[in-house]
Amino acid sequence: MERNPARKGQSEIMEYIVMVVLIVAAIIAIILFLSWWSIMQIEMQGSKNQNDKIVSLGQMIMGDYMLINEQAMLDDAKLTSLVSMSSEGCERLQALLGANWYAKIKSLDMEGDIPCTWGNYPDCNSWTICEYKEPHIAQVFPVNVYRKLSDKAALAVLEVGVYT
Amino acid sequence: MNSKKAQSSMILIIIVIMIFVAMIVFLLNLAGSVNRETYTNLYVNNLLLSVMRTDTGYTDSKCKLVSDLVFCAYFTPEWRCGNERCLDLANETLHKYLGVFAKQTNSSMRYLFTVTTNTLATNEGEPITLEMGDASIKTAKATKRYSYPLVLTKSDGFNQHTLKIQLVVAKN
Repeated sequence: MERNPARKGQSEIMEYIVMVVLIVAAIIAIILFLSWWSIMQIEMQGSKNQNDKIVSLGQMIMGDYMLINEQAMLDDAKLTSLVSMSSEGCERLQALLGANWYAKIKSLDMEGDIPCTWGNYPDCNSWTICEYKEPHIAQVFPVNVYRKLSDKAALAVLEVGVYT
Repeated sequence: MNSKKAQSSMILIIIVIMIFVAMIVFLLNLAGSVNRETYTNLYVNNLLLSVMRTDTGYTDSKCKLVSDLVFCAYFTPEWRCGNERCLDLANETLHKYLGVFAKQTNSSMRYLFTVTTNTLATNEGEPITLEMGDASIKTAKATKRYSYPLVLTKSDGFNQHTLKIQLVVAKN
């Protein structure tokens, strides 16, 4: 039985149309993927920049002689002086390290969270440099706090956060 | 014939898309891990340094800092800090401090401190190693982080001892 040439031509045209539709769909899929990839890259770069900023802020705080005795050994008297200056201390540090961040230091030699002022020093264990607010992303670093009056080093946590 | 050609073209397109997706996933993973690497290295090295510099509360020069306790545990494990052997006290203190730190940071981790020196060796010439913490971490399949070896030197009378301390941590 011989096939109708008109029908054969029609089915070939249909095959081509389906083929063209699928190729166009594949091209659109690739374009969408590439767009998504670019957006992801930008988001990831943003997140990487924030994480890099946290790490470099952490390193700068752990190495800043305004706050430490030796590398990663924060001095409790220097910290108390800084937080007692209200916003001035933060502004001075922000002039050096940039804006939109906070740092919180907590010495683990005491239970609870007792913010330090000259009124309760040295019976306190936490210092917050610059305003702590949401939303933020933060990382923690192990450090020491040097207790000047008792001449002892305590294990401590330095939390550095940047505002998103 | 044309139908087969179209089919093979489709398969080719699908393969190309799959390669694209695989490349994107690979690059995303790679970029993420490089980013975390700097932080975790800093974290594990700082953890080792901070713990070693922390005061224990004892005044005896062999027991004052955690690093003193580690020296004592390695060279004179039977020495007593208060009522305890310094080897036991070193283990307890490391466990306590890492526990306090983990609790504070809401993290859960396993750790192993490895202490060696070049001046003491077994009869076979192997350096004597003191391990404190979870030794099973060495064979665990979890992702491990190694600190750089921390080299500490301490004088004891006329003798000068050097220890190499390394910390390995793994997330639970």
